[in-house]
Amino acid sequence: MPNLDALLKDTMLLTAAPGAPFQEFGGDAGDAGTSEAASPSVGARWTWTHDLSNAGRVTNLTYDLQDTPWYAAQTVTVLDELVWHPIELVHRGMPMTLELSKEFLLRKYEASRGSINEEPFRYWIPASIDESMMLVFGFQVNLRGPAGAITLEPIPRDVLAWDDFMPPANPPTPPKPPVMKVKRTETGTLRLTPLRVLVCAEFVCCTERNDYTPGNMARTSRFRPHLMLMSNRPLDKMAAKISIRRPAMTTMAHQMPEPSPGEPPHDPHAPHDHHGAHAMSTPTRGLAYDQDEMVHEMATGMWSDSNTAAVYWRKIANVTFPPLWSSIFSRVSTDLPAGTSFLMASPDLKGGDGFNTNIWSGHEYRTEQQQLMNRQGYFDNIHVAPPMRAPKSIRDFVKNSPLYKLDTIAMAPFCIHDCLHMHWRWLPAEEKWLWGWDETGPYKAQGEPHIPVNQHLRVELESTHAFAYCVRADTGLEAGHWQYILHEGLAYGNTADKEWLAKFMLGGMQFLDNWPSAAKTSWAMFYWFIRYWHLNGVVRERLLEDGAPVLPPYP
Amino acid sequence: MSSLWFNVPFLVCRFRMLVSHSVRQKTDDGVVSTHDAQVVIAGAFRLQAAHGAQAPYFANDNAVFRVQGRCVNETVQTGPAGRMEVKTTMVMSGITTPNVVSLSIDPDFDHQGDFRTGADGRDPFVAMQVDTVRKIVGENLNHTEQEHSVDQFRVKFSLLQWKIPEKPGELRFDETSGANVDSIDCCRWNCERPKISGVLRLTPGIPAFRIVDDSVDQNPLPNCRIRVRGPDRREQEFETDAQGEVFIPRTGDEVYTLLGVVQDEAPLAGALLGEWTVESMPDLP
Repeated sequence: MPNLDALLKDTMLLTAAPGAPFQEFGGDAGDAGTSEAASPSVGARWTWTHDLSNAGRVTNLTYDLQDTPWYAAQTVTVLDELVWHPIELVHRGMPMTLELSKEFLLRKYEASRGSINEEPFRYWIPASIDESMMLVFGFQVNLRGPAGAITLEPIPRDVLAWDDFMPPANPPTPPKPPVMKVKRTETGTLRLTPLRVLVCAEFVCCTERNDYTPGNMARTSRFRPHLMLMSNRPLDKMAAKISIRRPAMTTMAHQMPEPSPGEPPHDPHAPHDHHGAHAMSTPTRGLAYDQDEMVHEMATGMWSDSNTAAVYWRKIANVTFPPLWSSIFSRVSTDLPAGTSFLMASPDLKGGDGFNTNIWSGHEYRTEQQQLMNRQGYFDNIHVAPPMRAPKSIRDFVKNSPLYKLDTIAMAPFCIHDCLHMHWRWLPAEEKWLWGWDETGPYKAQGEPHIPVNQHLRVELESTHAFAYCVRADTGLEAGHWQYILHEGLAYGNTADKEWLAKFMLGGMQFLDNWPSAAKTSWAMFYWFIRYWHLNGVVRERLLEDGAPVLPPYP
Repeated sequence: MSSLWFNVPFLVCRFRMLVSHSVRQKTDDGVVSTHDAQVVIAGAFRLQAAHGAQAPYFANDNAVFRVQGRCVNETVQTGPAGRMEVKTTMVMSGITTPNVVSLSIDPDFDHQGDFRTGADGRDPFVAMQVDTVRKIVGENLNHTEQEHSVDQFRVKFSLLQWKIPEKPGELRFDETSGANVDSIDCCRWNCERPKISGVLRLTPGIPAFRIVDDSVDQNPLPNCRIRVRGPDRREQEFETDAQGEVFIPRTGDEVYTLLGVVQDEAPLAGALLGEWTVESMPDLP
C-alpha cells in the first residue's frame, strides 16, 4: 500500500528526475518557503515564473527559439499565464472545492534535467525535461468542523508517510470489521479517517522532439501542465478547469522588410506598430519587400482530423499532391470568437456514423458523412497563432476580389511560426504515442481521444488568444486511482523536422505556378492553396468551414 | 503542609508524545543532509496513590507505552570524484518495557508537580531497528554496504515545576505546562522538541469509548454520535464530549459494544471507520 513518496513516483517529473529536490510546506511543517517572491525559473530553453502566494498560476512562459530558415533566434512568449482553477468534487452528495493555494501545498519539486527513456509506454512517452516543477497539494475533510458543513484542512504531514495513506489501486477483499467491545477496565478508541485528496500540479517543460505529429514531420517542444488527483474514497463527481492564455499579440520578431522602391528606408528604432504585420524572411529568392507577413493579433482555430487521412500524412512532404485540407481534415473553424465552446470528447459519444462534411469536388460541394471514433467530439485540436498574410504582390494581384482572403491565412496542418498546439485526439495514426486512452491508460487506442475514458472534455474560448480546458467525470472515480487531467499536454511549434525538405517543398510548389513569382517562396500561399480552390476568380474552400453556407457550384 | 491531593486515591493518566519534524540542510561544500523523524508514543495507565508524609505522590511501577515511528537520516556528498550517500533508517514499533511513571506534588512549594517516567536511572524503552546503507558511486567505483543493528529507543520524559491547582481536579498538560525535559534517541539536540499532551483524571471510571481522527495527534472528535449496545442488548446513542470521549457508568463485568458512528451528515458522513484499539487498565478498583 502506497505512502506519498511511493505515489509520487507515478508523476512525470519524478519519472524523469527521480531524485529531484523539494521544499516542504503545510500542516505542521511550517513554512519552508524561501521563494515567496516570484522569480523566474530559467532552463536551457524554457523560462517561467511561479509565485507561491498564487500557487495555482504560472506566468510568463517563454521559449528560446533557435535560428531557422524562417526566423532568427529569439525568445518568444508562449503563454502569458496558465491557471489551474479550483477543482470541484462531490463525495456522497457533499460538494467541495479544492483551491490550489499555498495553504494546502505540501511540497514543491523542481528539476531542470532528467529524461524518460525508450521503455514500453505506461503513462509517459520518452522525453527530456527542461525547467520544470511539481506542486503537491493535500486536502482532507476536517472531521472536527461544524456539523452539516464541509471544511477542508491540509493533510497532516505524519499521515503522508503511512503506507496506507491511500488505498491500493486494486484493494484486496476488505477484512471483516472488528467487533468493538470494551469491558469495565477498558477504553476503546476508534479512529476515523477523513476523505483525503492528493493533487499534483505538474508543469513539466520538455526539450524539442519530432514526435508530436504523424510522420515525425515537425519539431516541437512540449509542455505538460497536467493535474493528477487521487482520493482515498470513491468520488461521485469531479470537475477541473485549466486556463491557457497566450498574449493578445505575438511577440515573435521577423526581419523588417526592405522598403519598396520609392519608399523611405525603415527606421529600426521607430515605435513598433502593433496593428500592422511583420514581414517574414524567406529562405530563397524573391524581392525582400515582397515577403510573407504575420499578423500581430493572435487567432484561434480548431480542426478535426479525417479518420482516413493517415495516407495523406505519410505523403505530406509532396510537391505534387500537397496535404489539402479536404484530405486530412473533416471539420474546421478558424478565427473563433470568444465564448465559443464545444464538447470535444465524452464517454457518451459513440463511434460510427457522424456529422456531414461539405467537400469541394472542383465543381460543387459534395456531402460526405464522417465515420467517427468512440468518444470523438466536435474538434480534435486547437491552435493559437497569429495568421499569415500573403506577399504584397499577390494581394495586389487579386485586390479586386476579396473572396481570396489573403490577409488572414491560417496555418495547418503544421505551423511555420509562433503556434501553440494542443491535440486531444489524432487520426488513427501508426505511431503509438498518437494513440488515445482505453480503460487501462494512455497510448492504447488508435484514433481515440487522449483523455481518460471517463472524462468529458469541453474547450471554451476565453478570448481569441486564450482558452479553458474543462473536464468533468461522474464515473470511474475510484479510490486509490490517479485521475489525469490534461495528460496530453501542449506543444510549441519550432520548425520542420527536416528543414532541407521543407525548403525543397517550398521551392517546388508547382501548384502555385500561375501566381506572381513571390508565391513560389511563400508559406502563406502554400497554406492558402491547401485550403482554397480557385479558378477564374471563383474561390471555394476545399473543406467548407463549419457552419458556413454552402456556396453554389462553379458556373 | 496539608494538601487536598492527599485525599485522592488514584489518577487515570492518558499520555501522548509526538515527534514530528523534517530538516534539510545544505552546507557550503555541497553536503546535503536530511533528517526526518515521525514517532508517536502513547500510554494510558492508572497512577496509584502512595503518598509520603510531606507530599502527595502517585505512581505506577509497571506503566507501558506504545511506540510507533521511524527516523531517517541521510547525507549526500557529491564531488568531482563521485557521490557518497549514507542513509540510516531507525524503526521503532512495540510496547515499552514496564517502568515507573510518577507524579509528586510539593504542597510547600506552590503545589509544584514533578511528573516523570523512569526511576533510578532506568527508563522504559522499546527495541529500535537500525539499518544503515552506504553507497559510493564514482567513475570507476560502485560500492554499497549495509549494516543492521538493534538499539534501544527510550521514553525519557519529565515535566518539572508544573503548577498544579490546590484543589484536586482534572489536570491537562502539554509541553508548556512546566519545565519539560526529554531526550529523543533518534534525534539531534537541536531538533524541534516533541509535542506532549495528556490528561490526568480523577474520575473513578475511564471512558468507554474515544472517537478521534487518524492523525498522529489523534485529535478528538467532539459531538460525534455513536451507537452502543449495552449488556442488556439494548442499543443506545451517546455523544462524545469535548475530548471525544464517552463515559458510561460501569460497575460490574458488563460489556459494551460500539456498533458504529452516526454518519448522517457532514463532516462525518464521508469518514471511514479506521483502526480500533483497546487500552486496558486492569488495576482499576
